[in-house]
Parts: sequence; C-alpha cells; structure tokens
Amino acid sequence: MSSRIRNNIGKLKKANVLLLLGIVLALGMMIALGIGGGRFRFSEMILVFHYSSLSASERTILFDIRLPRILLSVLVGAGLSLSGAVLQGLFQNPLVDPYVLGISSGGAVGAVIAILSGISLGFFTIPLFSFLFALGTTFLVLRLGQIGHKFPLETMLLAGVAIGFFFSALISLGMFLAGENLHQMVFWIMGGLWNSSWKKVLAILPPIAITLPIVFSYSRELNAFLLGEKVAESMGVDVEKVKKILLVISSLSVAACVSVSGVIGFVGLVVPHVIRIITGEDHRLLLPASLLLGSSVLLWADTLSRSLLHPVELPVGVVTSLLGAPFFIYLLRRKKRER
Amino acid sequence: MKKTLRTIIQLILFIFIFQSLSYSQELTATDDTGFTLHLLQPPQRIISLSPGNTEILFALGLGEKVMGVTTYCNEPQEALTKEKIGNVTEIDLEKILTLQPDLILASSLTPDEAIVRLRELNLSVFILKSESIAQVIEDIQKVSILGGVESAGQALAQTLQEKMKQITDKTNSLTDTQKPVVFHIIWHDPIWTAGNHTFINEFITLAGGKNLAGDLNGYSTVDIEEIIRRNPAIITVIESHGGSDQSQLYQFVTTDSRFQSMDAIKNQQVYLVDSDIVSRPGPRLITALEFFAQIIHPELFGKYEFKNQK
Repeated sequence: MSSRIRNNIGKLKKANVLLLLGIVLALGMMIALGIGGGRFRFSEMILVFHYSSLSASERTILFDIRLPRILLSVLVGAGLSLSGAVLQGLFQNPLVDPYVLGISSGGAVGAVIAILSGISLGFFTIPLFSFLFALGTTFLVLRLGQIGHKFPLETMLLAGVAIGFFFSALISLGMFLAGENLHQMVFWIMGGLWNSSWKKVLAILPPIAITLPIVFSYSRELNAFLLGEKVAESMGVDVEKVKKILLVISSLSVAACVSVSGVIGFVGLVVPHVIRIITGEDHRLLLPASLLLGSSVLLWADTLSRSLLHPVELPVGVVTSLLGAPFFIYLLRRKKRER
Repeated sequence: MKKTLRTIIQLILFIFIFQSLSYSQELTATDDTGFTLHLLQPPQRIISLSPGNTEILFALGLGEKVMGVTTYCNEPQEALTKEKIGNVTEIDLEKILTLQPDLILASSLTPDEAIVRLRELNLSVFILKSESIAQVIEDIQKVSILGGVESAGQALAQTLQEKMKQITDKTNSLTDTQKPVVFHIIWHDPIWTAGNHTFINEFITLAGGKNLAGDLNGYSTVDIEEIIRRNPAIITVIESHGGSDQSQLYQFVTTDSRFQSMDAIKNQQVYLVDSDIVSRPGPRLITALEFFAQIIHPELFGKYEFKNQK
C-alpha cells in the first residue's frame, strides 16, 4: 500500500503535500473552535467573527479558553514533531524521540523542585523551573557526551539515557516525599494542555519561532546524515557544528513545550515516522510535513481529551499514547507485509 | 466429693465463659469493610493511622491511650507529642510492633498490604472507611464501643447529630431557586473539584446549595468552559495547611481573566476553607458543615470568617 501511496504522492509536488496538510490543520482548528461542552456547534465556530454579538461568558469561552488552547496544542505539537524528526535524522535511530537527551525528566525534576520547595514567583514558577532544568539537562548531556571537540552520537545517546534514569529516580524520590502535593506532580508528569492561557502561548511562541527557520535551513545537511556521518563529512558537511546547533536548537523548543504542557508522549516519536512512510526521507519535505501533521495530531488529541468524558478532562498525554501506539503498530505491520 | 468437685469446676467454667462472653459482647464491632473485631478488654495502647481517626480518639477521651499517630496528625495539640508511625500511606511496621498496640485504627488510605501484614502479626486492626457524615457518626460510636467508652460515644454522636439537624432543619425548607450553585476548587492546573460521593458534596447540599460538579464522580478534573457555563454564585477554595500554594490557588481564582464573567467573582463570593477541617472523616466534619452553611446562607447562619487554624 505504502509503495502505491508513495508513487501517487511522488507525483504530487512537495508543495501540494504541504498545502494539503496545511488545509487539514486550518480546518481542524476551525472545527475545534466549535467543539466544547461535549459537542460540536457550527454556530460557535462562526460566531468568532461576530465578536460584538457575544455575551461576556461566550467571549471568555471562545477567546480566552478555546482559542489559546487550540494555538497551544498546535505549537506544542509542531515543536515536538519537528524536534522528533530532526533528532531521528541526526541520530539515525528510529527509537529516538524529542525527550532522548533527558529533557523530559530534566523538566519534570524542575517542576518537582518548584512544587516541593514551595517557591512561588507567581503562576509561572513551575513552567519557569521546568524550562530552566530542561535546558540545563541538555547542556549537561552535551557536556558529558562531548569528547574533545567532537560530539559522538552514541555517547550522547547513552549520556542522555543515563541522566534520564538518574532524574527519574529523583522524580520518584520527590513524589515519595510530596505528601499532599503528590497530585500536582502526577498531573504535571502525565502531560496536559489544561489551563492553557494566552500567557503560555506567548511564552512558547518565541523559542518555536526561532527554531523553525534554523532547523529548515539544515535540511540538506540532515539528508547527508542519512548516508552516515563519515559520508556526510566527505560531502563537505561540518558534521560537529551541525550536530551541536541542531541538538541545542531542538532542545530549546522541546524544553519550551515541556514547560507548558508536561510530558506528552508519542507525538514526537510517531509523527515523523508516519510522514516518512508517506513521503519518504527527504528532510526538505519531511521537516515541514512533520510539523504540520504533528500540530494536527496534538490538536485532535487534545480536543478528544476535553470532549470524551466531558465535563471531565483527560490528560492529553494519555490520549496520544493510547491512540498513537496502536496506530503506529498498524502502520508498521502494513509496511512489513509489503516487503 | 467427686460430684462437688465437678460442680465447682462447672461453676468456674461457667463463670469464665460467661465473663468472656459478656466482654466480647461489650467490645465487639464490625468495621466498614465487614470485619468483626472482638476485644477481651478495653485497649490500653491504641495506634491511629490517619488524622481523622486521631481526632475521633481524642474526642472520645481516649487520647491518653493513643501511643502512635501519623505525621499529619496535628489536631488536637496533644497529638503532636505522640510517637509517629509514618505518614498516612507509608507506615513503619517495626515502629508499630515496638509500640505493642492492642488496637490499630486504619483508614481508607491505609495500604491493603499493610493491613494484611498487621493482621498476620495477630494485631487487632479496625478499618474506618466512611463516605458520609452519618457514617462518620456511626464510626465514632463503633470506636467508643471498642474503646470501652460507649456512653461518651453516644453523647458525642448525639451532639453532632443535633448540630447537623439545626442546619438541615433550616435548609430543608429552602426552595430550589434559593439554593445557589457552589463550586469547590482543589487545584487549578488542571482544575480539580469534588463531585458526588465526597464530603464536600454533602456539605454543599446539606447546607442549602447546589454542587456545580454534583454530576461528576468523586474527585475529578473539570473543563473550565463548563464552570463558566454553569456560572457558580459561590466559590470555595481549599486552603492546604502550611503550603504556599493556597494563596496561589486563591489568587488564580480571583484574578484569572477567564473567571471574571462568573457571578461568584463579580459579587466577591470566594471563600477559603481549611482542608484539614473539610476533608478529615472525624468529629470536625460538623464544623465544616457549619462553615459551608455560613458561606452559602449567611442570612440564616451568620457570617463566615476564615480562621487559619495553624
């Protein structure tokens, strides 16, 4: 099947795939704006354009609750899938996800410390702590994995895994000691886009906006990495510099995502694989396509998480993994059968 | 001679059996899990595995016999001086054994494995798992029977029931429109509230209000959109002791732009409630009920004032 798809899509131009994914995302955002209270209302989707005719509570619901939440899910989905695609390309390892350098456990340790210590710098205490710890973890892993002026990917991967385990133990310790604050930690670690606000949207917009152009400009170098580091080097790619820049920049956007939404699993791992199955390995297409699909996937996962058991809200991280894992297995089986 | 000896032995046996029977009848109670406990004599060394249980024991005048409590037991003051056997969910078995208890009062939060272990060690464990105010009052009476202070238990139960009746007598006559929608918030990220089968739900309904989340099961997350739509007239904010998050939660509720369209915010009907008082299954639940009555119907019960107990 996928070969047929690939042939069909191969005939489409790159722009068309992106246009299609873009339209799907835009339509999804429109529809999600009309979903609330456990059902879809066309009127609510359209009413956004009649601001003056809305009551105060309708305005709050549409503009202060749904809109920032939709934008946040789109931004986080974009950040996670793009970083996933970049890191998988860089490490040449299909199991790599955006959290491979220990970023998620670093961010979680930051959140746990903020909750346990009771330090309060306003509502942004926990996101700020988790952002700083997530970034700090990345630099720690880069330092540990560095040998001379080189960044061997295997060492880096192992350093990331080791730091991840160490921090996981710290998180367990924190949870053990948490007592009455335990539920805050559990919720944070589960990952959710609840309580999305414009402040959170504005907080993660800059890191993600910086990431996009830089990452896209390295598409060709990432394509060279497909042939292995040595070949890439012989093709004139400054391998160490590319690795360093891409690791730092993708960590920046993942850290931003983790700080506002906790640990949302599976999006960053699976979306790039799905795109690869559909369009192939060319990073010039893979990166923007992953970004768009990732946004759509998280948008719909979050919309489901707030509608399935309405008015109870589920953690979106649970929804992405519950739906993502079986779908991914299905794709893998299909792909395998064709060979 | 032989006959007399036989009669004497029979008599002794009879007295012995009668005595033990009468004891076991006096000090027998069935706990909330259906387990029946017989004690041969009133316990002298009691261990409490939850703050609510500790409050019950002290209220029954059994405080002096309490040997061990949890690290959360801060009420009454005397409880702070007792030996600590762990927190509510992690308990130190060795510590419990060294205290040689003859009665252990467990709670719904005590891990099942710990209860099994304690019973394997032939310790008398009695579990209190109340889900309603009425059940807490029943539990108080059961503990008083086991503790050999049945009359104290009956007196306390009667006082509590009377206080409860004073409130419900007034709220029962309220019409539906006189019952405001009350939203109780426990945490803001995600927004976490108390639905049905919680003490909070019982307080709100008995005190003449409608729980905004009455259709949800137990403690639950809730969509902020739905809160705005159901427009609470009153919001109660849990204040957990000692932590800094309580002010954060209160600030969130009173300042977040998304809450501004609600009646509770417009009319400044946001109240802090002490989490120790409103969440522990013990005699102070009636105090909590009185608080909610004052918050929801100050015209009937007087003005509510939040006092930090610590």
